Amino acid sequence: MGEIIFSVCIGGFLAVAGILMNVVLRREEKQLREKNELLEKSDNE
Amino acid sequence: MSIFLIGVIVSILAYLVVGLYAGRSVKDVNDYYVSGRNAPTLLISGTLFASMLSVNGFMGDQGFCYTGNITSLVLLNSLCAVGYVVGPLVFGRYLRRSECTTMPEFFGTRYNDFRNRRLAGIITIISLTAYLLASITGVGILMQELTGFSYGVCLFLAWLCFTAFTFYSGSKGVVITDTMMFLVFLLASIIAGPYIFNAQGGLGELLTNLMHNPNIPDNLLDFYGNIPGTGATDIFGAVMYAVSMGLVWLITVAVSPWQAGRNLMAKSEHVTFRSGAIAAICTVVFLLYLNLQSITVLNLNPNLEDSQRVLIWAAFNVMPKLVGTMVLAGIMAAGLSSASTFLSVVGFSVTTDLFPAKFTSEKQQLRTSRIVMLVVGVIALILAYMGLGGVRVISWFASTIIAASWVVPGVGSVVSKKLSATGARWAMLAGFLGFIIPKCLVGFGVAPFNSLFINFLDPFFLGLYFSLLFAVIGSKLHPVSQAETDYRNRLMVIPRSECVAAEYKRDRVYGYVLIVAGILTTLFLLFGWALPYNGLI
Repeated sequence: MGEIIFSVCIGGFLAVAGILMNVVLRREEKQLREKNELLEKSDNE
Repeated sequence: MSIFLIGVIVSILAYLVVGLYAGRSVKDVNDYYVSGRNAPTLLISGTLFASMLSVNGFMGDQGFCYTGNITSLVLLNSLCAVGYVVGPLVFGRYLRRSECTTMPEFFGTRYNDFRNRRLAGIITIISLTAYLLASITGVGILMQELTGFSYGVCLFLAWLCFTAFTFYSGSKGVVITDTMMFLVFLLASIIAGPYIFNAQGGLGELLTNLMHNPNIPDNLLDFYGNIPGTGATDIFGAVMYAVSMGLVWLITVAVSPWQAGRNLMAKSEHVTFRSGAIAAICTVVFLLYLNLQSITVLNLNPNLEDSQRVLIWAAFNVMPKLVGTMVLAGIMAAGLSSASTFLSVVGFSVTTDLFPAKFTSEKQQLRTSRIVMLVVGVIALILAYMGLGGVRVISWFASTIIAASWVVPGVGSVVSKKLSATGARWAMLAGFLGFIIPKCLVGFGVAPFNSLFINFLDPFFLGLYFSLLFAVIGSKLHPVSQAETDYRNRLMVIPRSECVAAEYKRDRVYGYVLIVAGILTTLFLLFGWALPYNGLI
């Protein structure tokens, strides 16, 4: 049983790191996009 | 002249030529210190992984696997890999954004206090000089075994190789040769694998052969590994050893100057994320592949006198001569790449971080930097020749001490609005002393500390706890100044050049590759080891 949990953890750490990276960068990209849209709107007005 | 000797000489000459050629494009201090801040993903990931993996990665670590602790090392590496991904997100990108040339300079600029820079510089010099000595010594001993030359001659040849291009080309030469060395040992290990596996019936037969091999170390195939090998007395202790050491290395790759400092050379912040992802995959997948080669040797020769020579034995006895030569050149490359990185980081700090030097021109600064680099290199050679690289106390400074000392002021410089210059400086000093004093007590076997300071009371974590404590005390007594707050606020603003949607999209591809690599690793371990070992398939 310990070997099974171990196997899940080894790949799991890498997968979680990938998910974390994507979540952080996706959120950042979304914020930037919203900021740019706001700037464009204010420019148009 | 044997083919092994020819291989070693040819590889050294190749590094020298490429490293020196790279120096021709060094036009200013920026090129010399931070490779013009335009290194692409391949070069940053190459230098990250190559400087992390020294001769010890191919010898000491592989000996650890051969003597029964492959699972401990795999767990440690998988945690360490997380640091490569988290590091650029929480620290590395801000370090790059500061446009400093060294990490101590970052500490001085961010906290608006030269004393912070000087202290960080002193810690860098002490710690990385010790690392440098260990690396030169390792390469010297290895070269002596391969060539049959005297130790002094080998030490000088190894030193000449990496000092020549580090002195002349600075970071430009270091990142290119690091990447070249990374590719050499990566390719050599990948090619070598099938020869070692096939010598005992193929990779598919590895588990069965090990299970029927009466000469393997105790608990080699159990998830906790060989318990005495970790210094523990029970299963929990053995697992905790791997977990705590994994966390130590997670922090080390995230904030230490020879790892996080590579981000200063990246072309963009996106490059730091992608390079971290590649280094993380190499740390888990490539090292697992290498570790499997080491335990395969147990089915071929379970009685090696010196377990650290497991891959060298395989190179001489299992592989065709050409492949064996590549592997040996690869191991040498791992040592040389670490040494060149350490020398460059120490040289830069000696030149700029100890005293507020005023240079009349960039040309003068470049010339001074090169002279200092050469002097540092010569001093390192003399110290290594005197045998200081093998001194036990010196090796304690050459460990993870710098990460214990820097993680609080480093990550705190980004996430905390309350950490002040005084708090950061005290944290740095407390982390350094909080590590080295317990380490000496443990190392010299002083009871009861030698049995008390383990796992989460390991000297590294003690240093970390003291660092945190003094960060709080220092910041309470001397709060943050307006200049520090202003600088931090500027650091939080993403530069316009980074705000490109297509770049974020590419970053996410690397994130998905990490996820897929993780899933495949788990499936490989499950179906190749965990399930059949437990009789479930």
